[in-house]
Amino acid sequence: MEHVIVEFPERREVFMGGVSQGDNLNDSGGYWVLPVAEGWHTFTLGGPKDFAPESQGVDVRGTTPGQPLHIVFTKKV
Amino acid sequence: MRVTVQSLLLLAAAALLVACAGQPINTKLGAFDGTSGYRYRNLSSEGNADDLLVILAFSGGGTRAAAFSFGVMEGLSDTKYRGRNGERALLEDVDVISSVSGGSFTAAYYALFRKEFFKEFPGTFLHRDIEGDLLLRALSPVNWVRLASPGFDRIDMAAELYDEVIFKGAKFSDLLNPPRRPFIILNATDMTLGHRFEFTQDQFDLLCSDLGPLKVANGVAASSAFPGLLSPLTLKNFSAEGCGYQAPGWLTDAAQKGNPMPRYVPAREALSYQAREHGRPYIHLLDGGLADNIGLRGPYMALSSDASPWSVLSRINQGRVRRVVVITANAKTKPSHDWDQRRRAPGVFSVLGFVASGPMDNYSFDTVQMVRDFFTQQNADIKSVNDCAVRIKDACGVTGTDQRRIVDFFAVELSFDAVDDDALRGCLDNLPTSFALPQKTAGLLRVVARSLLMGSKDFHAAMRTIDPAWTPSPVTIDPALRAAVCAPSASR
Repeated sequence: MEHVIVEFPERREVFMGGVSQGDNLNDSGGYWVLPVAEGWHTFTLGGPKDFAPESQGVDVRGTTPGQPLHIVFTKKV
Repeated sequence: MRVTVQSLLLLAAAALLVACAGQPINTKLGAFDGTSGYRYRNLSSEGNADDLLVILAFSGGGTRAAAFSFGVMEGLSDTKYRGRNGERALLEDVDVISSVSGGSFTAAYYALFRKEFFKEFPGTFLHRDIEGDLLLRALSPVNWVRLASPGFDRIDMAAELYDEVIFKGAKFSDLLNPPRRPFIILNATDMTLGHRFEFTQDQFDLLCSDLGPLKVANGVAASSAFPGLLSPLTLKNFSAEGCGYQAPGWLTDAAQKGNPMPRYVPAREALSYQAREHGRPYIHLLDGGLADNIGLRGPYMALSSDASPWSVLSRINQGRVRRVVVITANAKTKPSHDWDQRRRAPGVFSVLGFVASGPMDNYSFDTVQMVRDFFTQQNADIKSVNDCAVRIKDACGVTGTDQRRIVDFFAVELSFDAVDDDALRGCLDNLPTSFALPQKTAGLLRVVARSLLMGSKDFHAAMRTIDPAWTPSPVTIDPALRAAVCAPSASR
């Protein structure tokens, strides 16, 4: 099992392979650490299309619960 | 003269049936629609505890497995706990039943006839001599003519019998009326791929076929088509004709080269049904036990990855599941043999019998262990991330800490191996695999299943998380019943 965090400055729904994985941010303001299967996944966000890139394919490997892979989306200005 | 007319009518009826038998049993899907049909997401939980996910896996093993899984269902019905809206039975919370072979009769009957299940299933199936019924049909001259045609085989005759006497003409579309859980996954084995084949619309989409009009009996027959005794069930793959199929993103992600094999290979093989070049216009299905004799591989994929149409992992990430209970009813046996008492090697039938079941039993053991190990690892990972968050908060006063969603995982395995009494275990381990068991044998299997469930420490742990005040119902195995089945002179 691998672990990822999806960074975006706002609370957004995370989609992986077209399926919702819940929100990126938890109630404390930190991120949810999402368990995912090892290998290739396509990530994107829900809500307004004000983020970049539109989606990103990532090969997730070698993570631990304490050292998740950070997948970063930035807000378009 | 009268005899001649009757004979002609009989032959005409047989010819008509042969003509009908030439048609594929499954129908083409008009246009692909990934949202309709018999899928997990289309079934409502209807009062289920939302955050509790209960998965049952029923093994193969003929009527022995059906009776054992029926006993587990009786035990779950007896498992009353105090929920948010008052007392309820854990059986009402079952979300998914994944079944193989003999276990598929129990699963499908429950899904179709829930109200009559406990009253009717024993008489309709458990106490019926299905093998005798099949033999009678095979001896009918009408069926000789039909069996001689290329479009009708022994499996079709079995499916007809199951349809008439057990499932009463029910189709998969009837499982959506009303659309409520549990979601039943009848598992067969694709002979070419050697992999699981599920009777779900997500699987049938790949064949551009509509599961709805198909008789449930066909799914159960394929799931229990023991090699040699029954012929494979043949489905038409309509994908060459096209239906506008669009593979879901999670499937194309899983089919990326370089992914770990347990995720990559099933995805690649699923997409192979859609291959235009070197296509497979027909799919031949055998007993689900050949690929997975406890029906746990599908749930394992759903639990551990997104590469499943009903990914539990995704639902956990969504925060919709807080407790997961997986109960496996494994009716495997370990018949005693005198092979080691003689220098002469076991004969060909002994070897074939061992080859047919030995590797699968080992594989089943591994699958149960994989689920257990996965749950142990998940519980540890969640604790590690969240303990760290608490320490950071306590030491530094930081509030915005990264966390994992808290989920409790419980794996409950019910098998004869867990019977403490050596004599009783020996008796159970020597029960035959057949579709005809004496009523008392079925009765013993039912009470043993309830006893194992109520005695399982893993089940106690799960139930006390659900309701701290829960206590198991006492189950007593009637000594007279046990003696009637297990005495050396008893007919089993």
